[in-house]
Amino acid sequence: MEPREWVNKHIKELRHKFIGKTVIVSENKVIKTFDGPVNPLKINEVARKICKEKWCYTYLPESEEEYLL
Amino acid sequence: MILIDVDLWNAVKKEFELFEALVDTGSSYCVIEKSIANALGLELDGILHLWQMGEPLNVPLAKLRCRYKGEEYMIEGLVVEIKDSYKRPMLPEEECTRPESPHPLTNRVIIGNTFIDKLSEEEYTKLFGR
Repeated sequence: MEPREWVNKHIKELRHKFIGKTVIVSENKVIKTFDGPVNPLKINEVARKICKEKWCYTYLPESEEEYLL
Repeated sequence: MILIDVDLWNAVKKEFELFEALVDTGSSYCVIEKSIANALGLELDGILHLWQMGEPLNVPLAKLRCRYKGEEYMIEGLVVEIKDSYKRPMLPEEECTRPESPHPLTNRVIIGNTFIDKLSEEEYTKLFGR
């Protein structure tokens, strides 16, 4: 399964377990977590070193609908 | 809320970088935060003059080389500067002058209509029809 597809499928569990964290996902599992939001370039730097397959990342805030985009 | 993965070209490192992207059909343009745009070595390409909240708003434009599902696109994006204090969660002792959560552009890009309009009918349907 594509990493983003896996994240979308498990978003509720991820939000419950890793609230307030950024997670790197690869091979249908969470590979690494960071506290809070992280600059994407830093995430890519880490992910390139630790992921053997395709990865994605997502930030799991408590809420984020407060901003008008 | 639709989140997708897009790759943006890093002109400094000469490689694509993966970004989590928030799809926003209400945004005419794609949007990227200024410090990230600088780190990617994006060249500015003029100024967009907007009228927002009863005031003029002049925003730098940049061309984004973007890859999505194996296809490459050149899209117009806006570069906006977000205050550093908005890039982190609100602190317990902080007076509540802004939303508690960090600004979405801290760790994402916004995908607006300058990108969405370039998708094929098939990709468009896949994106919004799921």
